Amino acid sequence: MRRSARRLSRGLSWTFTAFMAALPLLAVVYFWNLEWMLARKDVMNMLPAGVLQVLPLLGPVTLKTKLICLAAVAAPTALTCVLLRRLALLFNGYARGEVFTLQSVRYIRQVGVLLLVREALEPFSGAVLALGLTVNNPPGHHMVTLGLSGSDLTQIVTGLALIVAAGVMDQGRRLHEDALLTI
Amino acid sequence: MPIVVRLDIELARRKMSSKDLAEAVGVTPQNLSVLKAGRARAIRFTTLEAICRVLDCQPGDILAYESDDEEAAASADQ
Repeated sequence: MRRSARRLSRGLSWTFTAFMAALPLLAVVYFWNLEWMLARKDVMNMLPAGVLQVLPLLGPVTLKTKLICLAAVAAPTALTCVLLRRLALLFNGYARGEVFTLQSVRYIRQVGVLLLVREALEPFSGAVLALGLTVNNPPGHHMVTLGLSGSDLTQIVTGLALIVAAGVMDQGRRLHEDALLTI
Repeated sequence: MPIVVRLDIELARRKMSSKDLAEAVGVTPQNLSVLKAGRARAIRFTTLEAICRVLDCQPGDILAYESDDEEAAASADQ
């Protein structure tokens, strides 16, 4: 593997690790300052597409709202952290020149599976988030939304593509092993 | 694996070290060790040819086929 590729892999590994560490903090900061975030359109767009529909019906934001919202995003955030950790480990291996190894094949497959699991959770997380945002509304005005956006479908396709790519990498690993053990 | 590499015997007969053979054949001592240990998946004809030339022997002197039953019996005897 070329030195520049190794350096780039090391940089990516550090970047993914930094994102992994920052993500839970960002989620807490985002929902702790929910009123301020909702007042800013650019930051507000970070919410899932389905949840944006309930914003016109948004009730007063209280501690309960914030806690429900945080609980709603906890599982997808945790999955994203695991996914980022796997990516960091994968690129750390690449930085050490470990390309066609069983471990790197496993990491690629796990990233694909984690993407699919996260996308499977996303509609439920969005539903709880919408409920959290309208929890202080008067009775009859609470809302639950379930939906799939274009980006969700892209993530599903990416997850499936990664699982297939892991299979191809495994085949490459076997050929590499055969080449190493051919005297 | 049913294919047994008998390089050790041929080397002992000729009182030759693995390192010398690896050098004469043009493979690394690590690769020769893999071959001797029976961990190799395949052997190139060029490598086999070089080993036979250096040891002045036939491929059959180095490689042998032993079915799994024979192998099990041999290890039981030991």
